[in-house]
Amino acid sequence: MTKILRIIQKDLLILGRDRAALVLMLLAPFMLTISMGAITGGFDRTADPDAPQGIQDIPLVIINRDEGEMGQALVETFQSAELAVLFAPTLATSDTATEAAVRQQVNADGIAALVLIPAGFSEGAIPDQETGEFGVVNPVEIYASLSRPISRSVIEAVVGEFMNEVALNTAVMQVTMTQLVLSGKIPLDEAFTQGEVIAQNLFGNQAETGSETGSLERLLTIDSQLGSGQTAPNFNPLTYLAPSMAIFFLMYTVTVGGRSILAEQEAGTLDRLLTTPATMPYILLGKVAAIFVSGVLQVSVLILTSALLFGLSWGSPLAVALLIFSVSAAATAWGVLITSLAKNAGQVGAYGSAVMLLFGIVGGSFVPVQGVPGLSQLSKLTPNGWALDGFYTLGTGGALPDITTALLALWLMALLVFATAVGVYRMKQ
Amino acid sequence: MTRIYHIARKNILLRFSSRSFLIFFLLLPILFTFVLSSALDGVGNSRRPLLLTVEEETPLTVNLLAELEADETLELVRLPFEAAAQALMDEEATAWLIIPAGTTTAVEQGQSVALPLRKLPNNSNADALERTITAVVSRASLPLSVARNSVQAAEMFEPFPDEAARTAYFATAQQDAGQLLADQPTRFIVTHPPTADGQTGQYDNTAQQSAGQMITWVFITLLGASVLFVMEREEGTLRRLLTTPTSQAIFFAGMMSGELVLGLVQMAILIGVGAVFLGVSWGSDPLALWSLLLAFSLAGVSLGTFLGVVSKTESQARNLSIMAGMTMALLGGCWWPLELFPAGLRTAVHIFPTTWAMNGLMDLLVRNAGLAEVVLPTAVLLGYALLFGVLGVWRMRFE
Amino acid sequence: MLQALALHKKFGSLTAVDDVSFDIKPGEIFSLLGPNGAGKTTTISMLSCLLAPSGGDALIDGHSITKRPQAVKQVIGYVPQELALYGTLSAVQNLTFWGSMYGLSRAEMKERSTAVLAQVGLTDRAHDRVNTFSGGMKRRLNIAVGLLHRPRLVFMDEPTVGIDPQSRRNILDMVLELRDAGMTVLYTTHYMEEAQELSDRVGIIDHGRMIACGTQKELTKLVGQQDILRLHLAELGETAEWLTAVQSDPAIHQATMQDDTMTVTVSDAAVALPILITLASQHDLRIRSIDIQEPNLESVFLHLTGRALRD
Repeated sequence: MTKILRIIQKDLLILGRDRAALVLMLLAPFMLTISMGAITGGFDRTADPDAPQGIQDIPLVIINRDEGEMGQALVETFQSAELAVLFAPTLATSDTATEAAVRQQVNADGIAALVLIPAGFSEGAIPDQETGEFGVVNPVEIYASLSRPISRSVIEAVVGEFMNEVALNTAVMQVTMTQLVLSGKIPLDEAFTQGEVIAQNLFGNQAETGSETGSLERLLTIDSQLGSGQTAPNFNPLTYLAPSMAIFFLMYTVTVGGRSILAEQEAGTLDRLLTTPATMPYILLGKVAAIFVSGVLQVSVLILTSALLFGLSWGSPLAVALLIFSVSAAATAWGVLITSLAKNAGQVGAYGSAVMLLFGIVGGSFVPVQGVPGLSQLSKLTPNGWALDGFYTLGTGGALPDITTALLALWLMALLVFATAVGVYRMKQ
Repeated sequence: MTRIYHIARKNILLRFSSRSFLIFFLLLPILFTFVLSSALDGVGNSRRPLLLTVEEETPLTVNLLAELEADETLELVRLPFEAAAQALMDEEATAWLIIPAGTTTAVEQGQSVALPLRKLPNNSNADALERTITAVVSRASLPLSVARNSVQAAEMFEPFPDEAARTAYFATAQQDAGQLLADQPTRFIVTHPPTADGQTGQYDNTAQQSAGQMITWVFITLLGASVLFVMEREEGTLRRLLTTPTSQAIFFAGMMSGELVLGLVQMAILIGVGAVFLGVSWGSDPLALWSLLLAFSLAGVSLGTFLGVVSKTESQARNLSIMAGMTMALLGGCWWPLELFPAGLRTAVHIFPTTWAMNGLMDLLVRNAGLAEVVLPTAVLLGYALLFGVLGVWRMRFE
Repeated sequence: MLQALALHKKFGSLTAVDDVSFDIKPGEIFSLLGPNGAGKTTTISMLSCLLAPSGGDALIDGHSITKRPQAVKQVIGYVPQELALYGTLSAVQNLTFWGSMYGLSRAEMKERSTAVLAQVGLTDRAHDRVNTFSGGMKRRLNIAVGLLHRPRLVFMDEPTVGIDPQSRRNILDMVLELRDAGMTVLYTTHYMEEAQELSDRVGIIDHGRMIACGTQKELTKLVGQQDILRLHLAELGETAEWLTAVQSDPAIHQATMQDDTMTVTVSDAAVALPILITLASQHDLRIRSIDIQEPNLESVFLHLTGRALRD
């Protein structure tokens, strides 16, 4: 037992002196967490939680050539306080020279879009006071940059919703009055005067609530919640990113460990170890244990640091600890398998990087693979897939019992992969 | 000339003598392209599964279902409550819409109902699904609002004799409103800058991903030149080479052109794979495309040379080139569109050659730009090539 | 063939090579002998145009190494101390590459590859990766690369470091064959035996200075006509008295005693031997064996520096 401890101690010491390895084990995952956090909006905790992740201050220019209230209402929608995080709108003058210049800006991708409200937009949306007739409908144009698909879809959603409101307002009086007349509740000749009263009654109340277009309450809305009902208000993407990167680079650590086994063989220190009373199984056990311990240390440091720095919480420390142990065991087993298949230390490095990247992409360390047909199943072949599931469950308020499947799966994977590695090793002997 | 050819040939032989090279050269790039173009397809190039639990079967819910079904980005997976909860846990889909029992009654009584949508956090697909569903449901609820309004107006004059009469009045109003709203004129249109050939541009996620992954992996290949430079130095072959009548200039030219050929071949293969299997159109101006890609390759080779000159050991160079390649690609907008970046970062990342290459490529692919439009990124990339080339040659120690 | 004219190389404040001059005649094997770190590799690096001298010059086949390095490089073949080969390429691929670096045509390359492979005895491994070769085979291929373009002058920088005796023997024989085929060889080594066996002439280098240069005969003359005798005693007895007696004899130059061995320097072994044996028996000492060592490069080095070659 002491011998195994000594081997672990020695291996950790050697690893600790390898500055390049330490950078990749600890610094790189941390830096990537931060840069991906910046991209996905992990640091902007004031952002509207319903807003698409990361996107904010979408630069757009509005040109309003409409002189009625509807055009103004659309402008004010974009300028409203609720959408302040999402949009950074600028109102431009309505001359054609400006329009051309703004279009040029969109072409050059300087701004996300031009929202052009045409003259007579209100006339097409509100019936004439005298005749009750609608004017010709001139559509609003969203002239959107091609490089900003998400900005475009957000702008489109806002304008779409506004137009629904417009349509609603034109339809509601028409239907109400028609029905009243057809059902005989009011005579046809009273329709116009009664209409005023009804409008006053129905919209008047709502107009007091402050809604610009006098919008009608929607009967069906969407109440968006996170996860399986466990609520996690303001879910922080870093809860996902930090473990993603930690586990991605865990695969690097285990291959460094595997490489050290073959390096000892090549340097002849393994032979020297074998001339001591330590036997081969003991030595290998010590080396494998050293890989496992360095993996546990690495993930613990990263998880702990990110929890402290970014204020992340994974709930029960016991559950987190068990998860770290389990994923380190599974990753170690993969490291040993790669080592047993490789002919020399250099090959471990090359195949190790390949497997690391492969597991990273398939296991969801880079992009979420849940709900992607085929991929979400495939991800379960990697330690990354299971461990990220576990961290996600814990991060959204789950507890130890909720991650038992993930824990068991990781240990089962560790066992199977390790057994395969031993088999391969035996065959090569 | 023959010497340059032989040095280049030797480099290519050396690269391919390691079997793992093919993994990085072809296998991983193709895999990443496929995974990312399906996993990050947040703007709806294909159908995404949406879990759906419908707890009552009424004209209202049937209508709503029809509306959802009509959306070409959704693939409805109807499941009972428990099964759907499990399916979301198992991440078979990213979002789950529940239409609870009693929805119809509540709506017909004029109450508003919030349909629960449960979604996975930190998932762009879930966000995209939410946007789609909100739009569909909002549209579907318009006739309901009209109907409620009509019923309320009717009640101002006289109450309905019974509930059935009220319901019937509601249904008629809903139907009329539906008809009326369907006949509404188009009130907004989305247009895009015209492409070079006068066509309307179309954003294409698969094109973005294919281009992004090509940049990422070719960059990693090119930065790998650093490993060869370190090797030549460490193994003493560089010393030996310098005792032959081969000059330092020829040595650099040979080393770099070998890598350049590798990069160009890799790009040609990845472009082919994208075009054949993913239907990516690589723009309409092959000359512009290849000028940009050649400039990008030169920048990559130069940076690889520079890294090779400053790295001390082969494994250091190998790790450095993979990490630097990945990071620059990630921050250069090769994985996520730059619009997601905070404004300051979006400007800052223009120090990376990957950003310029990606921007240029997207101009070509999405905007169908021509040679004139990619002159700037091409020139900037050539600038990088020159800068790092000069730095590399200057820092190279031949003694 | 080669004239080194006061070659000088400084690395910062360290003088690695200090005004080294010598010349090599066509068709001879010239050895640079000296301990590790004496400046052998630096000298050879300057001669093969790898390092620019800080001072001095050398003419190779009439071309200055500082002014016409390209012309020099056409003449020389270089066999570096490290194995400067591509391990993951085959022997033939390596030879093809290096041949092209010397500017051989395709036809020449083919002919020369086959020839040098045969010369170093690697014909049957031509298409195997160099990584799969034994240490000795790699060394032989390393030499083969240096011979590809039929250089008239070959620089060999310690080509036998770290290999087994048999491979070493092979390489030494190869060097002799090269000379017999008319090639000029500059050979550096810190093995006195190698220099002794191979060289027509030897330059002894220490601390960057050429301390002696000439044929082996000329060099041993520096030590004077002296023989070194080593007498090994069967058992210890009155050794101190015997030593005093030996030291006081006029025929003996110098005598030291260590353990059971007495080392004696004499002008003529034939005269001294009977005296030594007589004195031993007078002190009741039995001599087990006697070695007589004629002057060699080792003793020259010892004589000139006061140190053994392999310190």
